[in-house]
Amino acid sequence: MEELLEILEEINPDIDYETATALIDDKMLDSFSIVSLVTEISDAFDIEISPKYLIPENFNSVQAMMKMIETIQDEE
Amino acid sequence: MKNILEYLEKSAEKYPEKIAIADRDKSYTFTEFKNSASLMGNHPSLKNISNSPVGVFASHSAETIIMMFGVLYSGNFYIPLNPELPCDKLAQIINDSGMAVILGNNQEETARQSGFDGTYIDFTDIPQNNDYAIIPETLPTAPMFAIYTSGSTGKPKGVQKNHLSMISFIEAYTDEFGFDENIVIGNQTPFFFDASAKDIYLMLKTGARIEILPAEFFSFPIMLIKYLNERRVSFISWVPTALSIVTKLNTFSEVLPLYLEKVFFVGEAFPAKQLKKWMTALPDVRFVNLYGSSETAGICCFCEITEAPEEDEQLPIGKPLSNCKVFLMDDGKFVTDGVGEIHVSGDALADCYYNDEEKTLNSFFIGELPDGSKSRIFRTGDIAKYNENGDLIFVSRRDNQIKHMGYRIELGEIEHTAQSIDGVAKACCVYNKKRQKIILVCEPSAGSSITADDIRRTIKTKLADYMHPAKVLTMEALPLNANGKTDRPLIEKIVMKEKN
Repeated sequence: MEELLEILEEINPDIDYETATALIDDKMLDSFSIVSLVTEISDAFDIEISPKYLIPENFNSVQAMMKMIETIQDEE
Repeated sequence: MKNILEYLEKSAEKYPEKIAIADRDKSYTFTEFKNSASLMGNHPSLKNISNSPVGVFASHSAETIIMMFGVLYSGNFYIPLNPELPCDKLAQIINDSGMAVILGNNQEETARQSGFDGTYIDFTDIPQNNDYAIIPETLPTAPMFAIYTSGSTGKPKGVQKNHLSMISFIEAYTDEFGFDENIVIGNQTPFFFDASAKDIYLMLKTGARIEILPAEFFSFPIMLIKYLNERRVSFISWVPTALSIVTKLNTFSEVLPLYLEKVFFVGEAFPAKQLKKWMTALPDVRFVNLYGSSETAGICCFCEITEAPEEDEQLPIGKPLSNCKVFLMDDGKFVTDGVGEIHVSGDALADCYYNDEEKTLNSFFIGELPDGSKSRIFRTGDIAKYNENGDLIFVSRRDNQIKHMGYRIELGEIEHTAQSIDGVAKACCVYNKKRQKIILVCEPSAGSSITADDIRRTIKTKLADYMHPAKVLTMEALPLNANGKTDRPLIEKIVMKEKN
């Protein structure tokens, strides 16, 4: 969780990630941020995020992202 | 041809029931498009003025295009406004252009918050009668639109173009690539961005349909490609940043665009690695690299890419489109061997920088062409050379202008904005091209306790989002070179070393 928060802070430090639940729906993260985010998460957690995971629901909150990371880790 | 509206009249006559413009929620046939635009053009507040600038809030929706043409039917010219801009920035454009009327779709509040006290007309105020405007007697040389771009002094720079420039471009463009009414254009570039004019006027001239692609799909490209398939999009002309998102996220392993025939890219260099992925996934598609600048209508050079490039290969800009003369000059002499600045001549040239004679004289001049004839010439500021095939290759910029996510940005504008903040003595902005990050370094004024975070937050309220620095750093004193000027190369070296 800490590591993920660090990545997100680096992308946009002005968002309160601990409470945000609609990062995508409220357009807080744009397409360019998503690409950086996916690249950084893949590197930091040593996982491959296949395109089927790239849906808004998986990126709306930190919790959702963590859950997605764990699912991928379990699969691998 | 009298003016650009003749294309619309012709297409509406030829394809009355064919869809011209579609976004996610709505669509307009050529007849509906023409009727709505011409009714809008008869709005009393627009009929009261002529050959004057009219603002149009350029949301990513079908109505934006209709409003632009409403302005043209009234015999005026439009200035697209980015509705997401901070109010300060909008106010600068509104004041600089002196626009007395703004059109929008439920955006009056944004106009008023930006200090606009003229007439606001809403899309829903289109007169509901049969009082259609006829094509005005606008001359081909009359202004058609002006687009504001980043200006190095912090003052926005409006590039004004006339009807003839767009007619000249669109005729050459359709000819060169054989576009007809059967293509479906997938528009990505926002309508306040000059590159979008290529999509709009291609629809107008050929009778093809323009599909305005929802911006949010670019975050989740599987949805985007599925949408392209659903709408049967056959042609796209996107900025490389948008194309790269698709391949960086490995979208093609899940879904392929089924109807695409042509993929064009414009606005910045396309990283060869990503282009290769596109070309490998779509072997039957035509790929073309386009080159142009806001000071010419559309584009002025193109290069068809027939073989997937090597990973570190630089794509050529190519050869001139038939309506342009493009050549290199250095120190007043033509260059055929070696590097020189790209110069462009032809009908596609912009008229001027709006209300800025000094800048206009600096970039546009009358001079001799390589064939000895005299003509108006535009100096692009891009340095290039020829390769062994006679194709132009971009080398560098003459100034501190960069391309970031397809947008043209003057680093000077960001520096100027930073220096206008209380507590900032000096600022130097650099671009990390590899990581695509804008980095701003500031020297706080003596005695000021301003932090990098304070500066970053203030900048966000003053500049368009694509210009926000990814990182702001402070230095007690910016290093100076032997001439006592800020040592930009040294600062670049220092910040690039950090993990930026």
